[in-house]
Amino acid sequence: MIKTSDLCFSYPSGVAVFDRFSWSVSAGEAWTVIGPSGCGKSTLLLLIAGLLRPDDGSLLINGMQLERPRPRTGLVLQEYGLLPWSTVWENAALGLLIRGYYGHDGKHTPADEDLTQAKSRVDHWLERLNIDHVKDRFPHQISGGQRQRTAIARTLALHPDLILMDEPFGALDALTRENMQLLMLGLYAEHHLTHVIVTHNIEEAVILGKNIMILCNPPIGSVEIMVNNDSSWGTRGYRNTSEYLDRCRYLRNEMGVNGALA
Amino acid sequence: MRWRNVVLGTLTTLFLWQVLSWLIDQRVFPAPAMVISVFFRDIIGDLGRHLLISSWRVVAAIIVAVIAAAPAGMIMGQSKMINRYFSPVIYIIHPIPKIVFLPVILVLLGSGDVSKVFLIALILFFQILVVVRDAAADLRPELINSVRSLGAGRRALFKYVYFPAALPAVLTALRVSVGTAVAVLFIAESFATTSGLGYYIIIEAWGALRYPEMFSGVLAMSTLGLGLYFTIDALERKLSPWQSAP
Repeated sequence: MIKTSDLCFSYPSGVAVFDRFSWSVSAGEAWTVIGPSGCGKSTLLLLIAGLLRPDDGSLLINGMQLERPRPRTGLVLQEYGLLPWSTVWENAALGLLIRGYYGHDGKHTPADEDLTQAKSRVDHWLERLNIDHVKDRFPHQISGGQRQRTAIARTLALHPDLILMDEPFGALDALTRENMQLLMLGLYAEHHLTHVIVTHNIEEAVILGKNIMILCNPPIGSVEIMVNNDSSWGTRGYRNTSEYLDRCRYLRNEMGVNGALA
Repeated sequence: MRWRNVVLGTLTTLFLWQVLSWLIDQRVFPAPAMVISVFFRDIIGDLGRHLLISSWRVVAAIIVAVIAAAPAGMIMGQSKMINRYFSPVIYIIHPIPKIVFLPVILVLLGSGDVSKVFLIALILFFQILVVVRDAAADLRPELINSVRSLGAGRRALFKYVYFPAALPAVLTALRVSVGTAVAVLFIAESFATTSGLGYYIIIEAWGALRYPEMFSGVLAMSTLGLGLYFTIDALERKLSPWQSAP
């Protein structure tokens, strides 16, 4: 699904983030990427989303070189990216409106996209994510969890095959955060969409990622550490298992958290 | 609540006006009752004609300024390079009181409607340009990135992001500058013209020592300013309901 080979990327300031970075993700895999602030997690996501262009190397999605944001990739950012002047329904429909605006050009809109059911697709996801009762409200009138559900509904209404999320639940309280994590696991169990979630939270990385990649300090030349969760991952009670605690402890050690506290 | 405030404000103003007319010579400062009766007598005649002419000049200037400044502000706000080139020019020109260009504009564009519309549009242009530019530049990169990730190119970004973001900025700029625009119109209409409220107040009324007519002209000018202000207010509530949503 995603394949980076010898990927190089530096910011205009000259700070190198990736230097010959290679990594691959198969279709249907659930990945989390964790690392300290400034390590390049979000940059990696923006590269995969087609919003940044690599300086060198290749970045393939479904075997195709990525030149621009692809219509089947959904991106959910920490600050939600909702339009403050649009209602929840209008925000959830934004991607479909944009597709309707360009028409079936294959560049902004998949050539096989059926836009005749756009309204019912939006209604379906608002209902599925339990935010249909706030569909006429503006983003500042709803809770953080509802805003994040709106952003997810907007992405899912586009029928993506790849979901990218950047610190999606970072601004939420603990309870809402756990509910949103369960929602994501439920959606993954239903649709098996490939997802890559960037987080700085160790517990969240273990809960949401069947595979976990730790990025350390840039420039990143190779995948630093990968952890694979075991078969009980994704179940409702996984948070209470000893495997979950082991993985958290392992990540903590690898990221030097314990060392920092000593 | 809002209308109650308007009524209360009007009544208080009329009361203070009445008190002042008692204290000052009533021949040069007529009481509100007399001015209002003259206003309604003349509004269907000469005063109404001048009010209509002034109104069309301001409205035309607003339309010209919005059409010219809003897209320019949006382009400058979303392109750092263009902004870098033009910002110093705006920085220099914006603070200049545009009324000083009145003689130049009269020489170049003549004494007709075009020069007056141009002068007011010039004032509004810079006000709108700066506010829209800042509104577009202040849009969070996360918002732009997330809309781009939905497939939006430059055209869709303008339609779905920059334009709706600029709309409240345009209305705010208009609300702030409409008073100045009407004031400048007043000055512009008192030179080399035979129509408009400025001409009516200065030449027809003040020049002929017809003080009740002069005050009814002032009342008409105030009505014009207030009418524009309330219209902008109503447009804001209609076009940007999210700003007033609790």
